[in-house]
Amino acid sequence: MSIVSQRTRVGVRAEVADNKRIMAHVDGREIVVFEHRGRLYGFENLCPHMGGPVCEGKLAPRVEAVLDSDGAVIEERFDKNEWRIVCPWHGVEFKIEDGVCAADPKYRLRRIEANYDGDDIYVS
Amino acid sequence: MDTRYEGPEPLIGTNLDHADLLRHAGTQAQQRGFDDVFIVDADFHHTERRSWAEILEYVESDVLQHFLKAGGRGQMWIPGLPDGGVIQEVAGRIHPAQSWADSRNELTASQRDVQLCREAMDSMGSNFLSFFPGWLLDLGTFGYDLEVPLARAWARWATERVLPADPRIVTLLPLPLGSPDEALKLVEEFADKPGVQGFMVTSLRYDPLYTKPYAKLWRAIEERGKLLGFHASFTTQDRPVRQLNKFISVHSVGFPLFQIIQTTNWVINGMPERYPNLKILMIEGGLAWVPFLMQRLDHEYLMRQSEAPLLKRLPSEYMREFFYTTQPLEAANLDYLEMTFDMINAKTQVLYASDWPHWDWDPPSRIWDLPFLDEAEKRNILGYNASRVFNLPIPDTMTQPPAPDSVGLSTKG
Ligand code: FES
Repeated sequence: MSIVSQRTRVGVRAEVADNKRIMAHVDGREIVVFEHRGRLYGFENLCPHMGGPVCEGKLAPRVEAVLDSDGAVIEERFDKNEWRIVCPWHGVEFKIEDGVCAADPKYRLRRIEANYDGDDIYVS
Repeated sequence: MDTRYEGPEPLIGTNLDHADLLRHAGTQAQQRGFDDVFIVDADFHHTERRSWAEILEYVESDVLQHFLKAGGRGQMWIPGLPDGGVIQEVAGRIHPAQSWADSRNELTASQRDVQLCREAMDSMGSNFLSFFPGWLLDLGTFGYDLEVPLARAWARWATERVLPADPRIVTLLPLPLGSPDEALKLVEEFADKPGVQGFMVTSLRYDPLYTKPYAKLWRAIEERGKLLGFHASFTTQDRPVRQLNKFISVHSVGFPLFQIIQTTNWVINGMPERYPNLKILMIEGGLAWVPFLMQRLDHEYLMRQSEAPLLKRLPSEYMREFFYTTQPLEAANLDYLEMTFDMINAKTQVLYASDWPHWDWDPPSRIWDLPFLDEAEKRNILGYNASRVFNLPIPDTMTQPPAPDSVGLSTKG
């Protein structure tokens, strides 16, 4: 069930251009909407770890380690198919696709549906 | 395959400022009614990198001052000190403390530090904080030529430029223990300065603190009723630690490791019996190492009592009379944490600490929200214990603690 009670306009397309983010207060909650690689993402700006402003953190791709057939690490590299938002308080990473914490799935961000309607952006 | 990473993308706005970062801590304080909870932050840091030029003005030798200034070319530089700052910020994923200066450029370095202290206290709802250096926590590895002058410079700078600016800022001054005589001189010179509530052993060091050359020093601190803190730090240079290839490994092991070494030496050499009124505070090692060491020392003491002839009780009983700061609170499993609190007698022995602005800091809500503590225990840990240990007054307007004997508090600490 969504944490937003009704469809609410929070901004316009230009406000998420150039990696900007929209912060809005809806139903008493602080939410953030941003665009990444052409898709909109919305989350409550409240980190389940200790309550930090998680959506004000940086985006970073997953780091993966590559092994050879003997089990030796050949390299570590970025996997740009999985992006995470990094809470600026302690660096806990959450996958932007589903809001689930990369280290421990018991922590997850509250997701909010965010969509364009023309140039307007709505959350629901 | 393209494995390059162009770097983290911009934040809301371009610069996440100190005040922005702490905004949610302010909300937490409001929601929990912290304006009536006496809170002492027993471990708060400044980034002396930003204040370095000002601190160097207090180095008493012109030649050394010139050497350090020239060597640093205007930046913080201590010969031999590895620069792990970038790693602390998880390779830039967390907003670096160094970039907070932008809106405070009109301030001098010490004014800026005081301002950051005030902003943090106001946001978190704390009434006092204990102000510590960062890189100088590795003082014990600098060598005599640097340890003594830098400890003196920091003590002079802090007591002349920072503590007088706000009575809510106090400190434990780092001791230059490479020279017991100089450490004693520092105690005699600075113990009565306002805001100096005690002195600090920077735990990453190799000096035999239980030996005769240090005896006068500990007695001097004890006689003055001052607190002795041991502040954890880490190194990448010690042989066992050099095997650790990741910062997470060095940090996880290093901080408790040096607390374990210092505590073991302090207890096994009977220091609590030799200086029974000297209050000991272990800072920034977390708490999980304490039950381990209690069990380990008790186990071996039973069989090798002859090697610790000064002890009249089990090692763990002395350790239960130490004080410990909370941060970083290992709270991944609350059942284990509750057992740890019980073993340490946390309701009287544990002091809240934020460790702000470091990457693994804890806001006061971390303690307030623990489900296994009652409100009286929360208030003790957040402030009343520190009020006793640091000798800090609780404002008349705030809820006062119950009388010590009514809740079974040791009157010793
Ligand atoms: S509060 Fe977000 S990482 Fe800790």
